[in-house]
Amino acid sequence: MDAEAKLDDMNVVMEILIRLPPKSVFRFISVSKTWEKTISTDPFFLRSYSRRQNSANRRRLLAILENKTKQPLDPELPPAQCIRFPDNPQVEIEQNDQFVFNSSNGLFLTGFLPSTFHVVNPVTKKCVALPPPPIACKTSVAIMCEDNFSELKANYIVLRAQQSLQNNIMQIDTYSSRTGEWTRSVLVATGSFELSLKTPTVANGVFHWNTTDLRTMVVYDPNDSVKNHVQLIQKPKCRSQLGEVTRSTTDDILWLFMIDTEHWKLFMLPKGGEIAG
Amino acid sequence: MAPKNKNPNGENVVPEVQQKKTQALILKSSDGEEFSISKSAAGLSVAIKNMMEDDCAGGVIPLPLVDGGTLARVITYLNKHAEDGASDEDKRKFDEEFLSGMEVDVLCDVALAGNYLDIRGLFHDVCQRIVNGMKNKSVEWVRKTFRIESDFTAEEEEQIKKEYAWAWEGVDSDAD
Repeated sequence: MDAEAKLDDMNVVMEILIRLPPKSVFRFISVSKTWEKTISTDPFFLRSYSRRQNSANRRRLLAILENKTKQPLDPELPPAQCIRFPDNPQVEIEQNDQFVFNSSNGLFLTGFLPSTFHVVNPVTKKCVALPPPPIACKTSVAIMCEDNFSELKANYIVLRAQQSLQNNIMQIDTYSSRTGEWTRSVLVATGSFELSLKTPTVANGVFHWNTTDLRTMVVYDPNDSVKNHVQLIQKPKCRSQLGEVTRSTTDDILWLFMIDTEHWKLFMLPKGGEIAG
Repeated sequence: MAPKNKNPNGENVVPEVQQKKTQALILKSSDGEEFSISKSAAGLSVAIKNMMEDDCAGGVIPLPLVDGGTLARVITYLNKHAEDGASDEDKRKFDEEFLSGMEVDVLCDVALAGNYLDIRGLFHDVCQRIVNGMKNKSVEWVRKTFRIESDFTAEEEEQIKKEYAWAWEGVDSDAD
């Protein structure tokens, strides 16, 4: 067993790598090409690792709850921590109009309007400052991170939307982490609408805005084959017209949850179908 | 409860567990050392259990991938975990002491043996122990300890270091 390499069995190496915290795993990419290949491309490793990290994060949430009740259930759990961002000290500087816009698949979008945006990864403690968009304007902005475990790197887009003067058209500026650039495009809807400037809900990679009268949902899927198109979905009438949407990950059914006078109501919309109560 | 040690005809019998335990087996290491072990202890290794069931061994099981020193350690572990009176707490305490005395070199040998012999509990505990020791260590420490030769060029290495600079913060010095 005293062969050349001490750990000559990749099964054992993988079992060890799966248990390491993300920081160590990223560092050990540079141990050798074999380790690099395992860590950044082996689908079995990437799947097992993300699954294990997810359950570790659940443990961390538990710890936050425990701090509140002051009754530790499990003394092994680390206390909830305030994370510091060594790369970007300005994140810690108090900014009165700094927002956390939204989150998607593990990344947060924060910053302040009109043109300062940071993408924060709480696991790697990495904070990326986006270049300012070509035109400054105070409008709706949101991040969408791809749900992709076959790549080590998180790929995301940040999308800023703005109504055009014509009421069936909206302009979007899209920042892509792949290109590192903002691009502008125009989306056309089949009818007229007035876009709300509130942050859209991002589910399954699809953006959902409300209109200002809350009667319609404006839906944009960046991966849709029909480019430059937004879908308008009429919302059912309820006492509280706001509601919230989500999508099932496997069949992409759109779910809308609303509160009515006596009940709450759950509506579903299968892909390409009409909304149903 | 039914009376112990009697078969349905009321005859005294030796309980099966005890019967198994008294039967011994020989494990032979890569360097030719032979170790006697009870079948119940050996059966905690899924790989040895399969070899016993296939009965291809004839009482002596050769383990060409495990050296004598490592095999002796593994057998100590198996004996403790097959002990009749040992409570879970006892075993946990034993595991803690058993592993805490081992250098990382030895841990690696035991991990490889635990994987090869398919002893789940041991394998996972040893891997966790190795992880605890290496998580804050430098890349150079990992290479040196596991005797891995880097096949990156200096430029490639620098590139990775640049890309994941955050992963290089707070690394222990290699002194210990």
